[in-house]
Amino acid sequence: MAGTAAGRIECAVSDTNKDGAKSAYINIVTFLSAHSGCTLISQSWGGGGLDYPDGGSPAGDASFSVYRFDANTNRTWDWYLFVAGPSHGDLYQESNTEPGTQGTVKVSAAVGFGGDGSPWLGTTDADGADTRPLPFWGTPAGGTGFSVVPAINGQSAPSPDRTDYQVCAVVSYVGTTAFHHGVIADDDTVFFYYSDDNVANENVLMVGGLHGVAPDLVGSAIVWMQKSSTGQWTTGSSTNLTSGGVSRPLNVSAEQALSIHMAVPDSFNDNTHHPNSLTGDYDTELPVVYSDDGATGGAIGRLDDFIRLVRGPVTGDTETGLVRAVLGSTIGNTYKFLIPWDGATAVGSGATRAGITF
Amino acid sequence: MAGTARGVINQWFSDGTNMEKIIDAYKNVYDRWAAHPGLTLIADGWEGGGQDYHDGGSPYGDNSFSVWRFDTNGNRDFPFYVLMCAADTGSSSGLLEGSSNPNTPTLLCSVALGIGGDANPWNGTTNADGTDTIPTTVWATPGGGTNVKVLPARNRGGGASSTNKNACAPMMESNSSNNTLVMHMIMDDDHFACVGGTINLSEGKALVVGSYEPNVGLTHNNPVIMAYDFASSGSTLSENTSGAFHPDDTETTHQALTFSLDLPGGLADQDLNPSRLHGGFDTFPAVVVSQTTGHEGYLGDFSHLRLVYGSQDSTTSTDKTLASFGSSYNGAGIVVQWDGATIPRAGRTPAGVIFGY
Repeated sequence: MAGTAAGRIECAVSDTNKDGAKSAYINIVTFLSAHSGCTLISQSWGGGGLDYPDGGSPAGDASFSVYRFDANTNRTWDWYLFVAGPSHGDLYQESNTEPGTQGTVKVSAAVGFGGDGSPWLGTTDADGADTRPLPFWGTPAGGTGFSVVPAINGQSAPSPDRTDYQVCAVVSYVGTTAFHHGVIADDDTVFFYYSDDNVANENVLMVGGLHGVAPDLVGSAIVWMQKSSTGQWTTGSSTNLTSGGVSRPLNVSAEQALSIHMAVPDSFNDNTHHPNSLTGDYDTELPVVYSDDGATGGAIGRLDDFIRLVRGPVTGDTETGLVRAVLGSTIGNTYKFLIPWDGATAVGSGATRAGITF
Repeated sequence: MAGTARGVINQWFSDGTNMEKIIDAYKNVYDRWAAHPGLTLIADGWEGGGQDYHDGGSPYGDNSFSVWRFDTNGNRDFPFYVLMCAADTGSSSGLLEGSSNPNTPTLLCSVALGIGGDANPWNGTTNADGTDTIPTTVWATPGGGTNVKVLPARNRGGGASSTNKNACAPMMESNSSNNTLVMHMIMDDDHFACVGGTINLSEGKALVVGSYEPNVGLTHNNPVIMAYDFASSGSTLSENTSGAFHPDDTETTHQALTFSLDLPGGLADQDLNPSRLHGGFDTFPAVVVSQTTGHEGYLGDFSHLRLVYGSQDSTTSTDKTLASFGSSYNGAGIVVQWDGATIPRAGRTPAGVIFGY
C-alpha cells in the first residue's frame, strides 16, 4: 500500500436522478481535494458551487474536477484523474450517452509522456471557473505522447467515434432511487463502489497508477482501470474497454490503451480452499495485471497491497477490527475486493448523505 | 536466490551402462555438495567401492548414497536433510522411485526433518566415511523428538510408504535404451534444482527442493517443498514424487501435504510468453497451495526458483545468467541462475561445467 489509506464511505444518497449524481460528485471531489498525495489542478463548478443540490451554492450542471496523483516513493511519474458530474452532453458514460433524466459521476484517467507530464489540456486555475476543451486529454507541453483509460478512448471504430477521448467510466448509481456509494484511496489508487439502496448490487471501479511492474518494464508510466459490475467477476476475464484498460508500458506514445486482465492463480478459484483450512482465515492475493491484446500481450505487473482479492467471504464482511471490508459482487462463489476500512463502521450501516470520512 | 548460486551444469554421460552414468552423475552432485559451505555430510556409503567415476580406479559402488544436512543460515532458522542415492534397478537399494522400485538406474532423493531432539531424522549410521548403510526404515523421529516430516508426501504417517519412509523422487532417470544422459544441478543455500534425462528435449523434467515464503497468515516453522514434473500449472503434484511439510509440527498423519504449484492466469499462457511488451520471458513466483483434503489452503510463495511458461527447455537469457528448464511450449518450467557463459547441452564432458565455487 502506498501511503495511508483514506476514504469517504457509507454515503447514503436519497436525492434522485441528476441530483443524486451531483450529491455523489460532491462527496467524491470533497474527499479527493483533501486527499494526501492528490493535487487539484482544474475545477469547474458548472456555474454553481460545491454544495449538495439543496445547499446554498449547489454544484451546477457539467461540473468537473481534475486531480494529479503526484509522484512519490513508488513511482517517479504523475497520473491524472478526471471526475465529471452529470449533464456533460459531449461525454460518454461508457457505451452510452447520459440519459435525459438520470445522471452519473464518471471518470477517466491519463498519463503524459515527457515534457511537463500533464496530459490535461484545459485551464488550470482550480478556482471553479476552469474550462475544458474536447478532447481534454493530449500530449503534454514539450512531451511525446499520452495514454487514456478507459481503453476504448482514441478508437474511431466501432461506432461511435471516440477519438476525442470522451469516454468515461461510471462511479455512481444510475437510477431513479436512493443509493449507497463510497470512495477509498491511497497514494496511488482510487477505489469507487456504489450500489442501490439495499447494497445488494454492488459495483466497483478501480483506477490508479501501477508501479509494481515487471522487471523489464520499470520506468513505464502506467495508469490502469478495472470495473466489476454486479454479477460474477472472474479473474482472467478481459475488462470491458469502455470501463477499463491499461496504458501501454514503456511510455509508447500515441498508443491506445490495452485491454486488461487481472488474475490470481487458479488454485484460488477453488471454493473448498476458503477459508484456508490451515489458518482459518480467508486467503487473499494480489492480482497480476496483464494484457492479452493481440500483438501487445504480456504481464505488466502486480497490484500492491491496497487492493486484495479474496474468494468466498460474504460481501460486506469485515476483518477483525473492521480494518478491511469485503466489497464487490454479492454472488457467493466469486471474487471480491478486500479494501482498507475505517476500523469502526459496519458495511451497509451508513445513514447520512455525507457518509463517514476516515 | 539465497546465498551464492552454484552448480554443475552440462553434465554429459554417454559412456558406460545406465548404472555407470548414474554413478557419474552422483559423483558430480556429491562433489558439489561436499564443497558447499552450507551443507554438512551426515552419512556416506560407497557400497564397497570408492569415490571415482565409473571408469576411475575406485569407482562408487552401485547404490552408493549420502545424507546431507542443509544447515541453518541467515535466511532459514531450521535445517533440512536430503538423502541422495545412485540406485540400481529393483529393490537392491531399498528405496522406491515414487511408488515402485526403479526400473532403470536412477539418481534418487528424499527430504526430511525431525521435530524436536536434535532434529536429525536419519535412521542409519553416521560414520560418514563410506561405510554407512541405508536402514530399512530410512527416516524416523529423532531421539527425544516428537515427529518427522518426509518428502515425497507418500512417506507421511498416513501414506503408502509410512512404515519404511523409503519413497524418493528422481533427480535423474536413465533410459531403457541406454541413451546418452544430460544433467544440470543448480543450488543456493536453501534450494537445489535438478533437471536431467536423455538428450531428447521433450523429456526435460525438473526436480526442485527448498524453502519458500509462507503465507503471512500462516505460522510455519519449516516451509519446504519438493516439486517434481510440474509442467501443468495448477495441477496437484503427485504425492509419490512431491510434497510440502505440513505447518503443524504435531500433525502425525498428514505430515506432508500434496500441493499445486501455480501461476496467475495469463502467465500460465504460452501465447503471452515471451512478452510482446518487452520481448523477454516473464517469470513470477509460484504460488504453493495445499490440496490435501481437509488441509487445503494457500501455503505461500516459492519465489527463489521462479516459474516460466512457454519457454523451451534449455534456453537462456541473452546474457546467459538465467536458464529455463523443464518446460515445453505449453507447460511450466523453472528459471534458474546460470553461469553467464555456457550454452545448455553444448558441453560433452561427464564432469560438466562448475560455477559459483
